[in-house]
Amino acid sequence: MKSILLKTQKIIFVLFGFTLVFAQNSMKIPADAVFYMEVNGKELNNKINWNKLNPLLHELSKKNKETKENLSWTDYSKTGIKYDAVQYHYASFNDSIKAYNTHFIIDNKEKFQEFINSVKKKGQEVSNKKNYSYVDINDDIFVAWNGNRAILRMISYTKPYKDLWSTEAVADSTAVAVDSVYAEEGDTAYTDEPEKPFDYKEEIKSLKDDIKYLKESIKDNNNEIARIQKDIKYLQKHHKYPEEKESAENEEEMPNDAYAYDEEEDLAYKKEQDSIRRENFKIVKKNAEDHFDQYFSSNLEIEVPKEMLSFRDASSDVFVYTDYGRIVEEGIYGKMTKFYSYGQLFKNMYNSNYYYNLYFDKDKVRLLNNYQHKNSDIQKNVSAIYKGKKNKKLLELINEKSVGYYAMNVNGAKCFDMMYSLLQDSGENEYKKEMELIMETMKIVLDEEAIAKIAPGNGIFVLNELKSKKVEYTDYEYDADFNEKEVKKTKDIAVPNFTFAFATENEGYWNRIFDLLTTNKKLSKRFSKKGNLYTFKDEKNGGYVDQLFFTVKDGVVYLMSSADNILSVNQSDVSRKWAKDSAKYPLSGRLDIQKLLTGLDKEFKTPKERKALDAIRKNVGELYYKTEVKGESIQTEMNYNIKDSSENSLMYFFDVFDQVFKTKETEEKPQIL
Amino acid sequence: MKKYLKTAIYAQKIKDCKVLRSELSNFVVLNPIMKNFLRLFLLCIPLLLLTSCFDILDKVNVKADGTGEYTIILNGSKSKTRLASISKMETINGKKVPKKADIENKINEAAKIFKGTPGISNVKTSMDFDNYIIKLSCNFKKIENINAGLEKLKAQNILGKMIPTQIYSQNLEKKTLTRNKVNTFKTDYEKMSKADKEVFNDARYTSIMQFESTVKSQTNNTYVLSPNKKALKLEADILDLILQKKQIQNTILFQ
Repeated sequence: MKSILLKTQKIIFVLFGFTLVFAQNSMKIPADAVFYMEVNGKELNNKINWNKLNPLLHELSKKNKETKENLSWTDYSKTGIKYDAVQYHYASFNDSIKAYNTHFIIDNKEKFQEFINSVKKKGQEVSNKKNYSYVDINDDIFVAWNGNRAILRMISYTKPYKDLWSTEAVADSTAVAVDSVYAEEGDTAYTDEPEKPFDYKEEIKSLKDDIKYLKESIKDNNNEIARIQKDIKYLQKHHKYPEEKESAENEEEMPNDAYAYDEEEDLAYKKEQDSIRRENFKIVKKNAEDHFDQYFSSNLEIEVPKEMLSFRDASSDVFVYTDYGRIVEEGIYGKMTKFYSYGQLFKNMYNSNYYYNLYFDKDKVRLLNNYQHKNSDIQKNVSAIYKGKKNKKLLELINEKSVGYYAMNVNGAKCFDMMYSLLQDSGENEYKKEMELIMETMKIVLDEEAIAKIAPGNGIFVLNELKSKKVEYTDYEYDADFNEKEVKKTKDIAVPNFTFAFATENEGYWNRIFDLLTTNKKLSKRFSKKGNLYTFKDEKNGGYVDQLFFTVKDGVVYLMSSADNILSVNQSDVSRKWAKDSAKYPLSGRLDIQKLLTGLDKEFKTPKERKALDAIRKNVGELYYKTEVKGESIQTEMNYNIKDSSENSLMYFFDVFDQVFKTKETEEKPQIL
Repeated sequence: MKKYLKTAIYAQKIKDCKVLRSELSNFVVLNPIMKNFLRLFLLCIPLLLLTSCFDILDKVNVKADGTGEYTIILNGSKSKTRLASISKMETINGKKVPKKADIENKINEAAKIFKGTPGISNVKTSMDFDNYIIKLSCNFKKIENINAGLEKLKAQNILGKMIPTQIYSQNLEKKTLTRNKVNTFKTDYEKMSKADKEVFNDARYTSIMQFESTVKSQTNNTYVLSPNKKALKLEADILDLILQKKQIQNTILFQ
């Protein structure tokens, strides 16, 4: 756990340097990139207050120092990295390698090297290549730099194993170093590799690499180094490994001692693990070197495919592109879908791109997300769903006094078109005709128009408030002789008061359903009817919601936690403005987190919880959300309005982090009474 | 060696499936700094709300001849609203939520095993699913019978491997009764996910030991001695016991 934390912290420190950097020329984004990100350093650098940030980072680094790590950098505004520029990130993965890259500019090479020295492990050597230098700051993190450019590459390697989902042979795209560890004869779990003649020179080279790795990465492995050195000497002399002399010795010792056997197995297992780690390191190191060679021998110019930049806003602080279709397709889900004959249906569903533009404005954090399906016909059908009509009755439920709401004005009837377009071409070859028949049957059986009338696509969920409710519970108390006695006590809990309502063009249908609930022999115990109002009552009265009320009125079906919620309330100007705003969008919502936490006040009892609640409540803001069709995409805007206490929304997060960090620090210090 | 390699690969395979989702999200999330800030910010709220508490009452009443009565009560009543909601769910924190019938079966099975343990008689169970209180009580000929019963439960996988079984031992001649030391759960606890750990946050443990004889002395003063010197009580946060901030072992010497 500690090592993960240290690792994360190290990554944070290094990546922190990369957060705000610019490259003058475009760079080559590999064809298999599924993620691309630009961080607009010019914009962000102006928003960062180093005077505030440095002490916080220093504190964190001090904490790390206590664990004998060498993170001692004090001024993170001077790392030799050019901050007022754009930084580029991209991630790619294939059958065995997952890699995350960050490209940035250095404006002070000496300072940068000093910074890297403070981040890397003590004694870790910097490798100097023809046109760049590099160092592995961790087993899977490599940093390379020349006079003015640097790359950070995080690599995760997994040797491809026999694919459960496919019968094809496994191929490892990472065709690298000799793999003596894996190539166990008769081991079917591994890829069948052609056996190479034993080359003792290669083996010595490989073992020397092992030593280098052990020296660099594993402090307490001197015995292993000694063993390997012995092996090297033996190989130099005899050009082969000694015969399996241990087997005879072991036979004498082992049989009667199960524990000894276990220990030996454990030791062997540990050795294997070390060996696997070393082999993996060799592979990732080679991969990193290849990547660095390629980059630094180029003119540092790259091209970003147009598709990736479709929705980029140059003024945003961060821009992100993700190929969702490929992430799913190349991942485990893709393998699963290949296994099933209807896999194409899933592919049709996921085959889309997501684009994000993030802005740290003065008073809010704004995230703009554009979703675009790669198939233009499916995209058109998706867009059509998002073109619904407004419903005045539902919008009247929006009230500024409420904790939050989520409103929907979509075109339910168009869902069928989308469903058909997803099914279209989803049957590959042999199932094509069957799929077409299913679609045709569905079209005949389903009366889309009638179904759409039941719920045309307008709905709203309003969290009016969080009320306090007294609940009884059983506890035990003890008399003088410690005989226990059951006692009833009460406590307050927060319960939601909400309204869920949706429009209908077929009131009779819903009334029939509700009538059925009240007359059915089994269900009528819990469901009752009074006038037009139906009530569901939980017999045990033990949950958060004891009663539910539902009714159909003026083309709207209501489901509420309180019967009063149906009564019309005069909307204030702000509420009317919100309702008007909501009418414009197919999806929209608000959540006042401060109100939410105030409502949950009773749930926080211990001093620790109260302290955390106070810290969060003091800083927490409001969320606003809307989705609409923008061009050939679905655009969602999410705003998080901050409190005025911070200079801007970026520093707001640092301020909150600082406060939480300080609160934690105080908790950890022993209390002196 | 091959076996180990295979195991390692299968473990890796399973890990891969789990890791894949997090890897993907790692790719999507902007960068580690932002990730940590957002994580801290967003996780604070739900985690505080997820805490639910339960109490365990562990009681033993020992007569001068070594026979006695043992009772264990699991009381989830304080969180009954939350438990009522959880019981309607299929899974929580990635684990299956047991149905009422599953719990009943387990308890009945435990009672059956206890009944079959030599020296144990009069096994009674009660399950109150409105208040989430489960009780199991029995009589024993000697206190070590309880250890044997618990050992059987463990063998039948009704109790988890972590649960200690050799709890009590008594020496009538030397007039001593020992509440044995419990192995540390610290490592197991630390391996748990944050959400799972939260379950223990407000959980309480009470141990009551009542005797016919008078207590002369005890080795652990965390236990409170009753005024009549015939009962001991230990109250502790379960977390303190897990993290060994409070010790449970005690040797009681009778007059």
